[in-house]
Amino acid sequence: MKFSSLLKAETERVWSRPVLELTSILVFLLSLSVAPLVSVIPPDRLQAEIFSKIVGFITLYADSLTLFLGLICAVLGTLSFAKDYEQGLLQTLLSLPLSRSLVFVSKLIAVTVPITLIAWVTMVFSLSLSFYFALDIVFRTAFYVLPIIFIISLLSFSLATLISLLAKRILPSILASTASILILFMISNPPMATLGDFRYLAYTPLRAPVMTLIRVFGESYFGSNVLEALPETGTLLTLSLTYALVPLFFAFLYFTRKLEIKQ
Amino acid sequence: MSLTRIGTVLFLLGLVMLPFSLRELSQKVGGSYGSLKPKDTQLYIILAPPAGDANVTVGEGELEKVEGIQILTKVVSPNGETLAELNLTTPYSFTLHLDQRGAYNVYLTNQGNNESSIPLTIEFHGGIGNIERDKFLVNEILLMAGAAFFLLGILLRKVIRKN
Repeated sequence: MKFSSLLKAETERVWSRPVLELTSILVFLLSLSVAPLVSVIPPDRLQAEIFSKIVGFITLYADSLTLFLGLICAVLGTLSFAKDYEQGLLQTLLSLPLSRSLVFVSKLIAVTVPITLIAWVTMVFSLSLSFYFALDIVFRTAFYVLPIIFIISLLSFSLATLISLLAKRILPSILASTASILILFMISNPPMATLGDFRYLAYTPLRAPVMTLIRVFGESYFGSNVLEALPETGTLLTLSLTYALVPLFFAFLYFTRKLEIKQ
Repeated sequence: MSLTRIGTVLFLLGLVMLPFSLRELSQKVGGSYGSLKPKDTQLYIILAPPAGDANVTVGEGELEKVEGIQILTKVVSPNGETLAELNLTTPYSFTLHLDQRGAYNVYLTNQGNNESSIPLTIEFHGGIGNIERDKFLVNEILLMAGAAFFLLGILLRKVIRKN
């Protein structure tokens, strides 16, 4: 069996009816909050105004997507490992002439890549509907969101995978992984948003990717005082990737070296 | 992915979008940027969706009202078509029909003898006439394409079963 066939089968299994339908609807619903575009401006502010509206929507969307993306990736990641383990499918998968690493990677891609693409394409579609007269700005700004959505998906998937590999049962794994995402979300949402909180938020796992986006778009949209409160883009990106890759590394190690399959 | 599934997804997305594309625009925005000397022309940009009739007021904003200044006003649509050309005395309101999305250029030429800032305001009053028509069109396409794909998928499945 080839890796591509395994990946195709895994993707079809993960995104079977009604997961794809429900995910698309919910993501689309989040993306429809683009405020109608009405402004009166001097000509020299035209590009800046369009850019500012697009950036405003993108950061709001990325922020509101975080919890949903976290929960859906956590559930799909858990089902991908714990369900297969409990139902004995993992035993069949590991008996295939493919390494454990490839099985792990196929599961990772089957969950994170489609959800990233669904969320990104939906966002670009909604933005294009409101700003099709400035598509160059839409694509230039939307380009930066793709890795950010992927990092958030990766973080949730990694946590869920690690939890489900340790728990090995569906229900406890789903409860623990969704609870971990909710806890991360709660510590990323302090009741008062002050500049001090911005500095704090930049170091929380779920908000660090969104803060990277804010840092990338810079002063043209956010005030310089907000930006001064944030670490550099490179630091934020490294931090976001570290949060996502550390649990993934341990989950990968456990899956490839330690996981014992029940007979 | 089967045609019926693509159809279902498109149709559901169309249904979800419907309340948003039927959202009536009820908004008033304005601006005033610098003062306009006699015989000078100032350009304002109105960024707006194709949402039907809007009320444009020259010489009156949220905070200021300029009276008795003669202004030659010319409104040009995003594709370069002149929508209105009037010689008016501020404050003056007129109705503008917006059927394109993008930047409308409003040229204001001071025909009087006094220098003054000229505020410009655009207002949508709401109502079924003020929905974003391009979004509604896309919504209709989603719904119809969804229904068409779904039916085509079912038809193909039946044909394949028969053969």
